[in-house]
Amino acid sequence: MPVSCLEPKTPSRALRAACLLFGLCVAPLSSHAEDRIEGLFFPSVTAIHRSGLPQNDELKANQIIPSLDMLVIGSHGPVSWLAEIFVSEREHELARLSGGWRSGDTLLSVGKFHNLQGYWNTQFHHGAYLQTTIDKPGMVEDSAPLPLHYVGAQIEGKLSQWGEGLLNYSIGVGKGSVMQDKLESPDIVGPGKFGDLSLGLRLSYTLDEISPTQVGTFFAHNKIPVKNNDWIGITQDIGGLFGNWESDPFRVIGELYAFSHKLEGSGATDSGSFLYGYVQGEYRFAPHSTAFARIEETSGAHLDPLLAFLPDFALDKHLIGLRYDVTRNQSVKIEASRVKRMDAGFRQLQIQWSAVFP
Amino acid sequence: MTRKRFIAALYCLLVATCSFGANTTWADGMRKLVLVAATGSDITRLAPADIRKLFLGVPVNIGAETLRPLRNASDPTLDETFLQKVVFMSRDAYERALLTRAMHGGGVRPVIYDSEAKLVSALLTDKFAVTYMWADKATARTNLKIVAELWQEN
Repeated sequence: MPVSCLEPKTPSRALRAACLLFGLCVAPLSSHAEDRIEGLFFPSVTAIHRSGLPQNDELKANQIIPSLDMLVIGSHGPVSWLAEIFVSEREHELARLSGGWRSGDTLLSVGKFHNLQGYWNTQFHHGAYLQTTIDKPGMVEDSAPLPLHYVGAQIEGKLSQWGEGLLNYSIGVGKGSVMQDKLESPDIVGPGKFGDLSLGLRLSYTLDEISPTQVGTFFAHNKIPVKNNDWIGITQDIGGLFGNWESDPFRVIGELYAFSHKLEGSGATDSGSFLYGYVQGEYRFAPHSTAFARIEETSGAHLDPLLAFLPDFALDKHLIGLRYDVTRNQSVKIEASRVKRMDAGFRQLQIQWSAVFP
Repeated sequence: MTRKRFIAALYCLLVATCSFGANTTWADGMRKLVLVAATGSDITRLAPADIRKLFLGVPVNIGAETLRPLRNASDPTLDETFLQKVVFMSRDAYERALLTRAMHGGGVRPVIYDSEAKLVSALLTDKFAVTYMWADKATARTNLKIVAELWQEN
């Protein structure tokens, strides 16, 4: 759930057309699952109470945010495709749209993708029901200091196999985000706002092809144009590590990001670097109940020139909560957190209902 | 005479009841879960690891053709047994794993059939589809063949 609170926007004609197209695709085809096409709907409603916000902060003290993530996936022989649309009161976007060709263990795709960095963004995307917590880590929120999407090509597959263990790779190249009030993702539908080069590499090791436990590393190089500012461009290099370990009833997720960036303006340059990481622990103490906690920390961010663009980025966040799976496809979560941004800190209490249909 | 007939009828009823009970016990004791395909299918044998992968959404090929798993929800006990004994997952964990894979673009989830008649009909129209059922039901259908023995009750 995005923390940032933008002015409500009217869906563009192009996005409405995309939604209509999505509906037309899903309605007749999902009832014939033999056609290898499936639609998934992830609705959620989140009630938020915040205390300690500065006066006139753009975040509200009390807020209810309904949202809907719609995913349609399909395949015909070696060809597969995917479309994901995320709609909430405050934002709407064609989050992903891609078509791919599989040859053996290799999948080559073109379209709009989530970035390849880390674990969270490549696992849960916008499906609130799939993630145990309510809040995403700050690094995959809209106010994050790295481009969350790119438009281009992606290739993924198996690099090597040791016994049952697999080393997988993903490589992506394309056009990334533009820096305005925050990093604006590129759009396929609607007025184009493509950034410059975005390169990503992700390597992960899994115990076997179906094991959820994995560890990995990632690298990214982004060139980000800056609009309406004295700076005209940002060159960003990111490296990091991630891991997900699951052994019922326990689960631990961790990610570490190392940022290095250079800003260029008319005759001036500046540079900065910082570290960001989080660890999340989960314990399923009853068949349908899970307790969780997460610590997010940023180091070396003081006076960082990139973060100066992003005052809403959560530098540190500590949260605890409970999740109860009410039915096979619905859950209720409650979460308390303490958030520290560049400019302020506040406390937050959230309750969320989330589901997946069908 | 009437009394003799009554006693004979009672005896027959007793024997029938006992043998029905014995049959039930025998059938329960020998319950076997099998993987089946259409008789005309090119599928011969499948390894247990491949079956687990297949039902978790990982593509498993025979030649150039990808196998299509069909979920048999016509009998809740059967479906639960399959998940516990073959996939080694609780229903919740299994559904979550399929959703995560689908969300990652890993393909559609296996189609679920509540009706055995519709399931068999789908199986017969697709030479690369497989499903699971109790062995006695599979052997009773001449248009199906067993391609793997998955689990047997002790």
